[in-house]
Amino acid sequence: MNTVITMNTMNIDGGILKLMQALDSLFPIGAFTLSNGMETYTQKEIVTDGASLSAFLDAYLYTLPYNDGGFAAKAALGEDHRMLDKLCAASKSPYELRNGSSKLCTRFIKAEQALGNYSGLKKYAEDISAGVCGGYHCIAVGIFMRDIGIDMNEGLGMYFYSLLSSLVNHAVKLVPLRQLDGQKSLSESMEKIPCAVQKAIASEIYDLGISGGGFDLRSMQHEKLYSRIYIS
Amino acid sequence: MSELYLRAENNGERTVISDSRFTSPIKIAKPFYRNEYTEVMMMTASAGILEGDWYDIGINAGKDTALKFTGQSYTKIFKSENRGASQRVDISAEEGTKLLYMPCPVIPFGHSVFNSQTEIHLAENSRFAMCDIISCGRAAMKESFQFDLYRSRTAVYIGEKLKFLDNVRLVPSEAELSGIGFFEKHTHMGMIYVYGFDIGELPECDGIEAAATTAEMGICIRISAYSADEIVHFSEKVLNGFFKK
Repeated sequence: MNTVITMNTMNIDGGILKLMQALDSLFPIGAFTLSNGMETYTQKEIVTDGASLSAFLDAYLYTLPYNDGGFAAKAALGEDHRMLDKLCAASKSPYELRNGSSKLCTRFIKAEQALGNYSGLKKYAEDISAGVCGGYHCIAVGIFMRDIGIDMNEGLGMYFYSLLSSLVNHAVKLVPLRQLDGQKSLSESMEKIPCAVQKAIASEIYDLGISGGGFDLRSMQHEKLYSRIYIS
Repeated sequence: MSELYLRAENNGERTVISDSRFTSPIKIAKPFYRNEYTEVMMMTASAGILEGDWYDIGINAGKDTALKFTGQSYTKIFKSENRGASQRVDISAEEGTKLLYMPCPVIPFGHSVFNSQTEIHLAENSRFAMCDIISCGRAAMKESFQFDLYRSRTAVYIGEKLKFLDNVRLVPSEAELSGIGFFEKHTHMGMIYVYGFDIGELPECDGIEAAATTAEMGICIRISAYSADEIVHFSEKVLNGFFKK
């Protein structure tokens, strides 16, 4: 029997590698310093093992289409970035989440502007410098996706993966967990990414900013944790 | 539709209700004139919010007033799976005003569907605080997270600009709301938002988890607890001195 091998040529000259680079934890914008509340969850022994990490990721992925994921999706769809920026600033009430996202945004735009010419990011950067916008990482990522013309499903899927992967890596170090247990939790939650992406694309502007009250509370408690490795 | 509208004014001596209208089952009790402020209590002749109910509430605190708006005990939301129930609240506080908005803790019963939208407009030099409390249901009757939908969106505009947004959407059939990210084993959650008033350090309170943060403007406090009373008690401590200079 003859075996037919078909080469599926991924469009690697397009945006996918650029986005992969931009979302890589080695990309020099300091994402590794933000735990986004995970440090509180591990210190208070709420996330202690693979099962509790999986529960955390499930809940995180459930709210993601309404907060960072929703903002990125709407920005990628071309919604007015000023309106999104205002909603994002007002809904990210925990100071460290808001400030962390803002810092990442500034560094993200600076790095990308050094690497290419992106018209959407340029406009956002101008509004941030002028004080019209606060500048948030999720919105910058969405605008960047639009600038590089990447497929929404692919782009958002990769963004969501990068957020989950970074939470897992923090949990693995903080609890600590076996690397393989972390990867197992990540692998399980990855299956829910396509559904979360669809929800983010379909989300209404009115629904943006929905979060779990628990996540916010833990992010706020982080400000007063006795010993802190991460800045959020 | 049931409607409540009231406007408070400073008559030079104290804060008075200069205009009010309401339709059944909503009514307001005769104002209590405290030393530093005037307190208005909303009452409802019905046992709670019923299927098909639509509440439209407007509170307008005029220049230099000191007003506390409260409700009676609890807001029960009854089974309303077919048509749901909704509420719209519009609040405005003019210059030099101190406004304390303390709606009742909400208890969503089994198969209730509730949609609430609150818009708050504050003058830059006003003072405002609110405390919003939601329970998991009738926990004592083993009816926790049996509601269909609880939706509450609160937007605060300061000097016409959106500065704080609390967007709550709870659907027990979609997520494990008693777990991580949501109630985290507690039965009640509270949110206090404060603008134009220095709360200082949070008071110590046993049995509850609470933390404060600086929102884009104002302070936001989140609380997890095992009863609404604990959160009310905590909020009273936090807001002690609200009506003082």
